Amino acid sequence: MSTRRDFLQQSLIAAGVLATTNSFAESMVEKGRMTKLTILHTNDVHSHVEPFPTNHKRYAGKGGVQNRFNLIQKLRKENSNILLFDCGDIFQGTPYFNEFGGELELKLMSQMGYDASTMGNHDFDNGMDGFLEVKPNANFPFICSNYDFSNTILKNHTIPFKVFEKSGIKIGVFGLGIKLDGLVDKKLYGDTVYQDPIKKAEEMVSILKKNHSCDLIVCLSHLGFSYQEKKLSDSTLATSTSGIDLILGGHTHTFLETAKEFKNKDGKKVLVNQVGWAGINLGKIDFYFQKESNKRVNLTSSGVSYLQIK
Amino acid sequence: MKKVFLISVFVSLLVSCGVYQLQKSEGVSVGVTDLDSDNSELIDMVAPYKNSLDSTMNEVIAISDMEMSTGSPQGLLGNWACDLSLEIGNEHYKEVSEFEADFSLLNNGGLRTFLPEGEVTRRKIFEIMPFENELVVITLSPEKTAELFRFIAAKTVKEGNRKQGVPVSSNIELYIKEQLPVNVLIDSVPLKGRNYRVITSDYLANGGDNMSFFLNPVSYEKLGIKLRDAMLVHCERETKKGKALTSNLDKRIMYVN
Repeated sequence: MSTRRDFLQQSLIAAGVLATTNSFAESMVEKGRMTKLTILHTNDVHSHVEPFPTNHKRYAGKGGVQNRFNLIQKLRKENSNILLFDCGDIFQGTPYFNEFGGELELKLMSQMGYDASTMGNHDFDNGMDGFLEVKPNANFPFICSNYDFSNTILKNHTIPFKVFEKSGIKIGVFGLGIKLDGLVDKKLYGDTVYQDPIKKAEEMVSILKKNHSCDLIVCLSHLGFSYQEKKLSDSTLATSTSGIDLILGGHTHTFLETAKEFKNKDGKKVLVNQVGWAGINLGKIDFYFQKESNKRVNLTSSGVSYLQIK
Repeated sequence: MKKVFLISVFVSLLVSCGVYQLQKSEGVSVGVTDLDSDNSELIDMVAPYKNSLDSTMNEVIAISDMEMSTGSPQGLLGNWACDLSLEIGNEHYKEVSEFEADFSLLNNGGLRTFLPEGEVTRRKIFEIMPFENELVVITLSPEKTAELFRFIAAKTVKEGNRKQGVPVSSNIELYIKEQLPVNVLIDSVPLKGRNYRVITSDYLANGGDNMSFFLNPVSYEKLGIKLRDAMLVHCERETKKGKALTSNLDKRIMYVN
């Protein structure tokens, strides 16, 4: 019975009809029929190097870099394809930042194996020169797609997108920052030009899909999860664009227990997640991929077919 | 029988797609807690930084009579911060000006955590006010002053989260009806058509938190003291006097029916 069910489910998956169950997807991974990719993420850690003190009212003992690292290492042992991202506001919130300017935060993230981060508004808190001074402690790139730094000292210190490859799967990552005007002191961000996130997102998706043949598109965002007032957020970004598979967010310190599912402009699924702040939670997004069958590959690449006519 | 072979060439129509098809995706948040690991790699990295910080940050610099949080229409923490900013700000202003500031205004979003009842460490003050914002005196025209009170009234809600409400000093009496200011008194005197001097942070003075009424003021004067340092000075002073930190909700911002 179970074989038959497996077979049916498999056929339906191939037809793209049925959402698979977790155990089924995992069994497909074990059999080598599917490839699993896990994306881990944080946001708004705000210099919370140490866990909350044991007498803290809400978050006693939670967070802390060593605890986070232990969890990441445990997950790395369980999954071979892992990416680790942060969505900004790495800085500001404890004296570690006031005293050492973010040097320690970036050293620790490098040690934990972060693959990339985007910039939050508080990452400008010591000005662009303050950011640049500690940036050499980061061995990962800062991905900022809609901040134009070309007339500032941050020119060429961030990248607009990056393509990662895990077991053959190509993951295209871009980053969106929040409007700085009114939020960050002008003297701190200088001549940084904020560009429309939706337009930039569409441009990035096009580049990542067309020029880089990405299988998965991920946006690292510091726009915020959603707002009561009419203001661009991850929720509006998800529904008003196409091609993005995952938006990892920050800024609004929103604790989501599970990633929220939206339908994009084309009616396709987009996941949005955010994990509160201060490193209390780590987000974990699992993707299951199936390599296109030979038949499918033939159909979508150059090939010759013979048709017999009487 | 004639056999005809038709040869058709399929050109890639889906060049924009990758080779892998996404079948399933799901995401969860995992709590970061102690996993009982022996690994201390990062703790060791942190240690020299921590030791240097702890020696100064763990010092108890005051005792508080109560827990103080931000709130709307008023919060104990915002009231406390505004009152000490007006007092200490004016002491600094006196050294450079013949005038005195009329009142103070800060923002709840800039007060990042609550002040606990009991022992207050230097670290706690850094956590409440982590930013390097300096106190400034902004002189506003009568029109901009009126705009300031309209801004407060529009932003103030009866019961709000920490981002709502705008803290001001205790010498203000602002009465709000349907998100509009219906009456404003400063030091018990109704608002007049004159310039007013406001103590605030340079962050807000530069239009932060959408306080655009502070932009292009009559004058902008720096006081040479950070808001956090003003808090620290206040804590040390109260402790020296043998007094605990205290705050109260009074008549400074009120709703009328």
